[in-house]
Amino acid sequence: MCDTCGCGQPPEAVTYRKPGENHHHPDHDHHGHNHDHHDHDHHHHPDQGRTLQVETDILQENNLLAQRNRGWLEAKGILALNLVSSPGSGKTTLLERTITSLKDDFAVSVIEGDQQTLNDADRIAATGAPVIQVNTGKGCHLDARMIRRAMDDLAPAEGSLLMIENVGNLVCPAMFDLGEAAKVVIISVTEGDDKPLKYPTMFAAADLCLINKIDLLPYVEFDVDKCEQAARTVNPRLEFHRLSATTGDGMDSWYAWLKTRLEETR
Amino acid sequence: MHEMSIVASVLNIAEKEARSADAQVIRTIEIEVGQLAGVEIPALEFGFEVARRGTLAGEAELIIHDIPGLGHCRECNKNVAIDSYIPICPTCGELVPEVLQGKELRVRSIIVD
Repeated sequence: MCDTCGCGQPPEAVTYRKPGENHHHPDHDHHGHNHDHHDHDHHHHPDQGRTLQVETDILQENNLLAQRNRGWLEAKGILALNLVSSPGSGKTTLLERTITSLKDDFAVSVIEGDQQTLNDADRIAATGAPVIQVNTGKGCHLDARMIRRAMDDLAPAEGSLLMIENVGNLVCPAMFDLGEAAKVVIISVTEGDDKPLKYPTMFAAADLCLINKIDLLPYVEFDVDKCEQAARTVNPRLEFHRLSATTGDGMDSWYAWLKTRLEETR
Repeated sequence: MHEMSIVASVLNIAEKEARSADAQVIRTIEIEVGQLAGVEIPALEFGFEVARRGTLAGEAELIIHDIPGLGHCRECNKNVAIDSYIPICPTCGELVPEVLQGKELRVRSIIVD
């Protein structure tokens, strides 16, 4: 597929790695088609052709795979959360602190999505939690098939918490159901407080919003109330927690939310 | 640019349908894209130009039906046009909790030989 974006790339271009494992390249090469505009003539046939009614949802395949994931997770009493945000909002730091604080309460495993590198998975592995890194290559989001494949490798324990850190991107991941129980959108106070209005799709799709890096509020012009109000305009159901994954401020209400949701799932 | 994934799905669905009808060539693919579906139509068209090559739809035309957003305003008790993700009634300014139309993303039909 095309070199411009790559998110329709073949599945073999996506890699799945665990920290400490040898890096293997999947067997793919970029097949040698070129993207020149070949000078074909369009032959418009005089006859009509056959019309086939299709009436199929374009996202159907992903949605079906996501529902299959959801059923599998429910059967095992696993709470899966899809963490979405812009790059740099502090998702990985949030995960590190959450895992370290809660690992005596329940098992946590992580699927890390990034275009490249094992960096985030290495950070999670240092906390002792099982982790698998999905490198999407040029792809801009995780999809349900990648999660299925990653879960097969990761084998999350029954009754555990599965954190899926999506590719840092506030647009594309909103459209692709992974089979998660909830989407958690993270925004940090170093971003704009009008971001929910600029990227409404993600805030409309989310169930919970974490406002991170509140320890930096004295140094930035971020109005937390205004941000929450903007997000509620897009999604009146949205819940909020204000916290700092660096200092630990406000993390307790997030932990309480996690515990309640996990008890409901088990 | 998730439009590329969308295009790949459109082509998959169309090719599957064409093959099961023993068709050799796909001439036209008609899809519906709601204005609230979060898809940029120019990006979709660009992606289609590139992705169709080498498929049964190699020279196919993509017809996109743009479906406008529609919601039901409880205050006004009528259906109103919704043109953004922030569903506000254009008449009374209240939030419209029920979006009835505009999130479509469907392959409607294909024309094959």
